[in-house]
Amino acid sequence: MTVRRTRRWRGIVAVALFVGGVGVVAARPLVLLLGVVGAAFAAYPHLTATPEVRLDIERRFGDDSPDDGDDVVVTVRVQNTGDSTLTDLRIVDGVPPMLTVSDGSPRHAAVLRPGKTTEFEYTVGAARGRHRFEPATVVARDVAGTREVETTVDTETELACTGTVPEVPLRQQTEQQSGRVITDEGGSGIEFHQTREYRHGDPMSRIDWKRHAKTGELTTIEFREERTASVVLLVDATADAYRARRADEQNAVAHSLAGAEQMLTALSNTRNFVGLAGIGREFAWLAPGTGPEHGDAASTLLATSPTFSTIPPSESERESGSGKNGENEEWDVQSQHAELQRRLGSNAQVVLLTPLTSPDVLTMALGLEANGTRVTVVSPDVTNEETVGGRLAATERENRMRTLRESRIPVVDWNPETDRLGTELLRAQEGVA
Amino acid sequence: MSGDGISGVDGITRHPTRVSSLVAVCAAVLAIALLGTTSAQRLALGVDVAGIAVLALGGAAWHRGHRVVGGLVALAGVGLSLASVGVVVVRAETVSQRVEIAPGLLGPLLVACGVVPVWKRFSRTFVSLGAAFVVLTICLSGLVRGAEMLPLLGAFAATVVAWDAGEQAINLGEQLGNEARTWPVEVGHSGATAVYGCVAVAAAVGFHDLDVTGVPLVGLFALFGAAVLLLVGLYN
Repeated sequence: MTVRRTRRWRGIVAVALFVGGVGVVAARPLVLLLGVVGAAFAAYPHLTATPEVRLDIERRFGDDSPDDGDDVVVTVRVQNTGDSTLTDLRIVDGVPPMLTVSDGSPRHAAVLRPGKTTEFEYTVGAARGRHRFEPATVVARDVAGTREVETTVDTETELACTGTVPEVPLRQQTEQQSGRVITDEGGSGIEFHQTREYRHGDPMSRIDWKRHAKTGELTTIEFREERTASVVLLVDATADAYRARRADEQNAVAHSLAGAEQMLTALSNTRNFVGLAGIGREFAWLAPGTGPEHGDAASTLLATSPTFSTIPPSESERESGSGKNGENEEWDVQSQHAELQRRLGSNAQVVLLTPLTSPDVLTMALGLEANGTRVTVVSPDVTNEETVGGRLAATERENRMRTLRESRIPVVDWNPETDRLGTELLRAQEGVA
Repeated sequence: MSGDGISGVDGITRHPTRVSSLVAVCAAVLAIALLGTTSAQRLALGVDVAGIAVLALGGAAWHRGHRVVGGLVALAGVGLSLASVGVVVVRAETVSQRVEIAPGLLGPLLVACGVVPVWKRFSRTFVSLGAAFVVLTICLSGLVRGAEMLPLLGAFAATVVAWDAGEQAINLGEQLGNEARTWPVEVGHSGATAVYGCVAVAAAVGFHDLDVTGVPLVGLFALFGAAVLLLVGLYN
């Protein structure tokens, strides 16, 4: 909170002195009386107190899950929770940088008595991705406009404009419970797997009686076991991942988060266990689970964790993060990898969302796969072909994808601008299943 | 300049806000109207106001993109307003009637130039200059004994309200822009200044009724010196 003096009444002292002086010099009592009025106005800014700003803010959307390009009405309610009237309250809402205001104004002024609320609305054009609102800037002036208090009021609000994903390609690493992931293990199920020699104790219903009738051999039919999977959606939010194709476009982390949100919804609708992890500013973790409450917890973590911020790290953050000696705990990506390894159970598989902009993340994916965790990589493409550097980055990314595929890690190459994630995942499904 | 922290986002029309601008011009006109009571003076003020209205129309056309037409109309408005000074010089009967109002006619025009705005960088200068011209005319009117006590004090308070509203229009425009709903704050702010102005005028009248103005000039000097000390003390 900063308190400033506007000094806008400075001139009035000079005016008061001038008219008083004229009155005295010309011996006109009436003009001298003007000096009294002037003096009263000179005292005016001293009679007011610095406003005490205590506010609550709340944002609501006309449409909670808009499509790309839809107009969304944002309604902002601001309540004065302090004890004094704010006579000159100016609010500038923190519209996310990637959203444009198409109608109305995110700026508002109000006179607010204690306990009262003021409401204003404006329309933004939704762009694909997750958009976190920044804190609203508030300027309160006293009634004379002498002192100005500037502060921010924050509430976690996020506008998610994401498509839907019909199905997430999962690999064959499953839990013991029955579910919908068709495995290579024989047992009970629907899809035929193999026949094998009868072993004592096999259920009668699974004996191939036709074959027994023909040849006299006892064989058992095995179906593919259907199990649940335990999936951890891992978002790469390291400093290198905050790349965007152009300065005014969304960065790869925003695309990854949008993808994670869509896959989270798709997986929550199945019986699979879904977890969430993030590597970046700090390690974010939500152990795999099911059910609506777990889904809420995952959404909340996506919306509020600093790791999942779509705002690129500042220069100072970046420098401390790239410190090789790992002095800075928060950006120590190596220890975050170790933490992830420790927390992943033996049966969990990982869907890694990464733009593949750094070699570290490649090492991490290969390391996870080598340690027995099945990894699927979903990679939003934010490289551009316009510059030499862009082409180099694209080639590097191609090479990393090839390395991953050579290690039998499926990679979903996703161009967030032109393709829907759902389509790309379905395309990849055939190769994965 | 105050409020730098929240300016600088594009897509906002940062003109002075309408309500305060209107209050500023009206208060400046009221101040002149309180001083000029003869028909010639009122006629001149009418011409002045008509010129300001034409200037406002021209300004609106200019901001809508009709640069040539808007510019010419605004220029015509300024010319008409300036002509009002000629009207009072030609039509007024006595010298004192001319002197007490002629500089003041420029006041509302300059305030209007500040809030239209003709030249954005100098908006505040225009408003202050306009208020200064009105103050000058009030002093002249007091010197030639053209106006009664109450109109004179009222005109002075109205001038302060005009300057305050003009500055408020400019800083609100800078911080929030024209698209935002700002009228409650504008009305509240100018209302408070006007009420305080009434209190100040009442205090001055009370001061007068104490008959301290009957004291000799030396006493007035002493009084004025004390006021100076008080004001300096308040500002340090």
